Amino acid sequence: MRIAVAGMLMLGVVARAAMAQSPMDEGERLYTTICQGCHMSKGEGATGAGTYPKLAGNPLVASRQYVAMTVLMGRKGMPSFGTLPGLSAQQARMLASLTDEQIAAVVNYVRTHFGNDYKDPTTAKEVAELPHPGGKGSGRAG
Amino acid sequence: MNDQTDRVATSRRDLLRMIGVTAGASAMYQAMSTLGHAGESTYAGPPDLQGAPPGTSVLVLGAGIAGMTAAYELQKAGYKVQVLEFNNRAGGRNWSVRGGDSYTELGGERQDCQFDKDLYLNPGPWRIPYHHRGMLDLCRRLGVKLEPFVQVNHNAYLHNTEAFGGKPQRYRDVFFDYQGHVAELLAKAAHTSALDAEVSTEDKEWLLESLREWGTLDKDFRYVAGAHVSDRRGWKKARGGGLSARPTPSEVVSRHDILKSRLWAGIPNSFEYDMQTTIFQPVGGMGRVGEAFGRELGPIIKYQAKVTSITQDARGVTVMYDDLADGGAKKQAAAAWCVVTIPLPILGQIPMNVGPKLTTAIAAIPYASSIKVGLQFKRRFWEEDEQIYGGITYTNLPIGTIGYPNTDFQGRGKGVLLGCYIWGLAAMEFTSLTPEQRIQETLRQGARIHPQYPQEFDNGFAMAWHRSPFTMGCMGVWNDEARAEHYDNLCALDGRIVLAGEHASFMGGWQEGSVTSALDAIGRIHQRVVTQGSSKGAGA
Ligand SMILES: Cc1cc2nc3c(=O)[nH]c(=O)nc-3n(C[C@H](O)[C@H](O)[C@H](O)COP(=O)(O)OP(=O)(O)OC[C@H]3O[C@@H](n4cnc5c(N)ncnc54)[C@H](O)[C@@H]3O)c2cc1C
Ligand code: HEC
Repeated sequence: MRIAVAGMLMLGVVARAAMAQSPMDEGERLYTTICQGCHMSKGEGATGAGTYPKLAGNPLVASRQYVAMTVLMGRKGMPSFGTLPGLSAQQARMLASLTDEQIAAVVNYVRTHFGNDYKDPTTAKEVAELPHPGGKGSGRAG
Repeated sequence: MNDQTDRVATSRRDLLRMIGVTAGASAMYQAMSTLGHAGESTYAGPPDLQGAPPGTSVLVLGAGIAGMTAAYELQKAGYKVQVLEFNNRAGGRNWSVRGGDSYTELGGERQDCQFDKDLYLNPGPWRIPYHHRGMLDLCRRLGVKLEPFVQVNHNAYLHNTEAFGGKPQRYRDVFFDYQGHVAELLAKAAHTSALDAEVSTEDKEWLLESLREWGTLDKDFRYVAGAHVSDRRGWKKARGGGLSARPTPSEVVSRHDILKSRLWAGIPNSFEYDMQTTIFQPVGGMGRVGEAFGRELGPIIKYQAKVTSITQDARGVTVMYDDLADGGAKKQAAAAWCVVTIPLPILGQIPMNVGPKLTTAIAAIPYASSIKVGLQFKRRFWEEDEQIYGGITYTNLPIGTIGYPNTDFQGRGKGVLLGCYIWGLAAMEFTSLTPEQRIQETLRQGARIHPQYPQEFDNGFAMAWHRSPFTMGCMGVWNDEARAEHYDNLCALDGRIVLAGEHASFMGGWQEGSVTSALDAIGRIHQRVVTQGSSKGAGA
């Protein structure tokens, strides 16, 4: 697993072209290269002077909208991953912005791993209906 | 492939500018972009805090540069001060890792640093420019010696995997060839009537003359190889003395190749106000500042005290903390006033009865991701083989930066390089790796610039700031909207509580922001104390 992650890093930041052929599911890829930095490899979270909440067995993960909203908008130490209107692909990547498709994939990944077993996947369409950073209200500005 | 090319196109500066424009909510770099435009430090010498009723008490949370600056000045003015600090050392982000130190990041990965005696990595701050007067004064007052930090090394590299077959180019060559070609083009334009609407005949003469000097152009205003040009970009066959020493000029890289290489993107890094000479570093590591400060303050700092709640009422502020040196026992501290310098991702999780504006501001500021990897090598091959003494190499590889030690030049022993220094998505991806994987990845990539890596590597230390138990990030990320909406609220005195720190400044990511924010905050508390006449009056 750890080795696979190292491989992903290379794919992520050196040779992303190979990504398309990667057998790793998009949700897993995003989790292991981004979310895992804070929520840890088994979704167990971590505590020091403050806490990265666990996602494993976290009752709040029951709501797919809650998870999607958190990823989109961020809050406190949780960065916002929603794509701002008008970003180029390159900007979006540098800001670690994710598309609605990617957010749906990682939300579904989190809600079906680490002992979570929710049967109601979200979709890119549903994510698109939620408020996005820079936009007012729901829907997708720009 | 496309992605890779995109990355190549994107210099750090470009990004900063680009992100400044889009002002993204998750703009990892945005705060960095404001650094250069913050203007001179507002530091105006140690504050005058006379006149408070003797024994007025202040509790300071966090013993970083901000907290210790506040504590130091308040105590000198006769306040009764106590500092609560989570770590078992003073300094916070001001820190140097040395051989024998051990560090456990969030998630439990522990690193035992194996560096040789006197070698170190600055996982956080590493440079102090000449106009950060508060930091420089602090060093002077604490007796911390300074030495030059080499920001620009003409003999270090600019590297792009897509340019010159991936072979690193000397900064000097790119810098002068780029400048020469631009000068030549501008001279050409001036010689046609293209600029006639812009410059008078007389100005045009001056312009042409200046271009000739600036760009080392020849008598026909061409940028071509020759003695003149080699006096800047170096010679193909070196000059020397005696019969064997007749030099041969170096060749210049063509305009097309220079432009296409995109290596010019690495040049403006040193144009930033905060990157201009003279820049300093403390002798022995940046952590010397925090260490000296901790010694100076002595027993008023309570270490291993993890603050868990902050409550104010009309009479004062009560803070609950876990005493980690005493099995996590729940303890309490109280004072009339409280200066809170705890980084926002942590503070946002600590119950604190302040107004909704401050609470909202605390929750609105995310923290950037950053990685620094220190690599100890068996010998200083960058000096011995490549004549690189200090300074920085920039690359489009994810490792971003290679920093060479700015001290102990020509040392015979081992040396520690900064092998990776990055922000943004690449930093998040590195954060997701174990420390050992980060080091291996840094070695693998860096070997494309310094092939000596595999042979000479000894050991390493990898810092991922989002895994830092005491900050949960590198620095607060502000954008223009957040500034407009939250900055004043974040800094305002709320009853008996005031925030200070890097995040409460226009110099985010600089220690000077911590110093000046702390002085500003305690100045406002002092004002309130003096006008109320008593620390025990109904303040809130
Ligand atoms: C990678 C990197 C590079 C940088 N480069 C430079 C540079 O070259 N030059 C420069 O001047 N600046 C630089 N900076 C910025 C500089 O490090 C900071 O601006 C400055 O050190 C912050 O000081 P502070 O006192 O505001 O916060 P901190 O140093 O973070 O202090 C906060 C303190 O609060 C403590 N704390 C946290 N939670 C609790 C709790 N619950 N209870 C009790 N205590 C708690 C922490 O342990 C810490 O000691 C850099 C930073 C990073 C991360
Ligand atoms: C920089 C660290 C960081 C990264 C990276 C990160 N998170 Fe978070 N996350 C946090 C923090 C801190 C919180 C708690 C926020 C709060 O205090 O309200 C959080 C909260 C959450 C929550 C809500 C949990 C709860 O108990 O309320 C979810 C769900 C979540 N994150 C999912 C993700 C996903 C999915 C990713 C990857 C796309 C991700 N996070 C990446 C730091 C991070």
